[in-house]
Amino acid sequence: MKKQQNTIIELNDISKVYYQKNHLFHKGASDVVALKDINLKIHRGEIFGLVGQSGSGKTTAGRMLVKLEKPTQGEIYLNGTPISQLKGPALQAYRKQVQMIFQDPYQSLNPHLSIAETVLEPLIVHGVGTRESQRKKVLDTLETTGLVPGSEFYDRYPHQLSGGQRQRVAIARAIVLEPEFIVADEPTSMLDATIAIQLFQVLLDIRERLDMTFLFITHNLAAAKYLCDRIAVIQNGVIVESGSTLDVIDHPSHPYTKTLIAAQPSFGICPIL
Amino acid sequence: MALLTVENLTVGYESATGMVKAVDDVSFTIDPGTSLGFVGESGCGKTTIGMALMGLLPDNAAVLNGRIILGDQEITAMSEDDLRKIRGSEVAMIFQAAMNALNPVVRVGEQVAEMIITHQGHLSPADITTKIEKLFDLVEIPRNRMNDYPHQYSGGMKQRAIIAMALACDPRLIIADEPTTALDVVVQDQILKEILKIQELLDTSFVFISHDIAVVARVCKKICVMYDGKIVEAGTREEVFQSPVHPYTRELLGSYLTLDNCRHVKVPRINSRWEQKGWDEGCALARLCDNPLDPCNSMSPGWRELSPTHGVRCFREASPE
Repeated sequence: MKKQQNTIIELNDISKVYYQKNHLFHKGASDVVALKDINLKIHRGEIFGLVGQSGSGKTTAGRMLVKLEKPTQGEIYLNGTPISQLKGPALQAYRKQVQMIFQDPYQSLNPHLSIAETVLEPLIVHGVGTRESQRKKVLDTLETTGLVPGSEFYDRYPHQLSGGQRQRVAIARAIVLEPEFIVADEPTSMLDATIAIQLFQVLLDIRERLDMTFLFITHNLAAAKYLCDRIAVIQNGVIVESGSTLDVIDHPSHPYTKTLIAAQPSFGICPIL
Repeated sequence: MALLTVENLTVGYESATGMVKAVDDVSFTIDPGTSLGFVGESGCGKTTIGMALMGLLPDNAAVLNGRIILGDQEITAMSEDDLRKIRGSEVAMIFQAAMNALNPVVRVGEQVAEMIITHQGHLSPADITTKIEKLFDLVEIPRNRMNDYPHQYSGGMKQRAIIAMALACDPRLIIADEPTTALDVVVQDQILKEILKIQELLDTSFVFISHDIAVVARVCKKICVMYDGKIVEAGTREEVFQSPVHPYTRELLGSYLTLDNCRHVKVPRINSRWEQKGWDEGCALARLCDNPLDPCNSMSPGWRELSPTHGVRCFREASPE
């Protein structure tokens, strides 16, 4: 039982197949296996990295955790409770506990909603607090993500913000309910390196202050090494290697991990400073 | 003689608050068969330079000053008709989002053919087919995929198809604007190898625009670092990356995350384009600088040459260690 307490999210033999339809005049393409027999345990308070190329299934895994996709087979557990059968209030409680930060801050924010409305929405949907306390919560959350002073951003719209600021708003929206677990799907791949590193600081700071657990999805091993406690390397829907970040990156055992490391940009002849 | 000469180029965008300078007094040259990289953050003006070189600036933008000379033609003085003739045949562009740069309802082979038909209309259909086959071989797309539609291609293959299209009429200069930004690291690595191979094989010159300094370091021998419309440091790749002089270059390098520097990477200070203040009153970077000098807040720093190839826009003589 003790082990159970440590694990917040568990993926048990998860597979996902996208079936192709047969049409009247032609046979559909063969079925696509996005994930195959995935077993993962994510511990409370850690940042767990899922690393792989485009099409490896890492985003599918993240979307399953927030119930945007259903596994074809297997079960996901949050604190020991299976999530596939959740309905009604239990499902709503689950959605409050698990939030997602999407890849592209240019597409994940509704351009018609002000920053305040964007971050307020989860509070209203879940009926958290009074009008007054909601406003204060939004301002505090904006400042936690580095949008200081919060009041200056409160009434702005997404088009008035830069990419990095938009992603901070997306982070604020994800953490405003103080969830236990956050799925961050390549949150910095659209942003400059200088902005990315600032956002990583925000994530680390949030984990420290609010005691949250993260699944960090990325193709960038350097980012994983910087942020994550443990990582799993995924190739074509199969986890090929997992372990503590330093072990995996400094002593890779699977050839695919070695390929990823070799492809990682470095300065080669030009070591930094 | 230089293939491309850009002199004092200034490009402005008309906005509600007046003319905004996106590119401010930029000069550089490119010799045949060499490549020049532009690095900087979003909003520093690097894409605007690429668009100006192609004569593709949007309607609300204007070249306020300066000249762009390609070979013996002045691009900044050309009519739209003349520009159309050189686009593709002399200068070609590889656009940022390969996913969106292809027409989804036209077969990829036909899209490459369109380029050849437009500029080399005298070729017979058989010659054009041979030419496309050669291009596909060069960028390593199997020939039997010529008649596929873009949605049947992976991201990396689309980017290869775009490169094939850019090479179709043997241009002397290719402008690559963030060609690998949307791709994952493994595919990025393959595309960069492709570009290096093409440089070697065809002796094409490249202008390479990216916010990723490691990508630029890999493919370009000469580098320009930009901030807020101006080049703040330029030199060979060794000069700029091994002995950077400008504080901004040092900040860019110091905050770049690689597998080796995770433990001592520096978190940069805020540098969003919404806070760029321009170069009219002192150095645009004065607020971000660790130890600005007296003139930094009142005078715009001029260009200072450190060696025949290395120059910097900063008052400070030696970099503070």
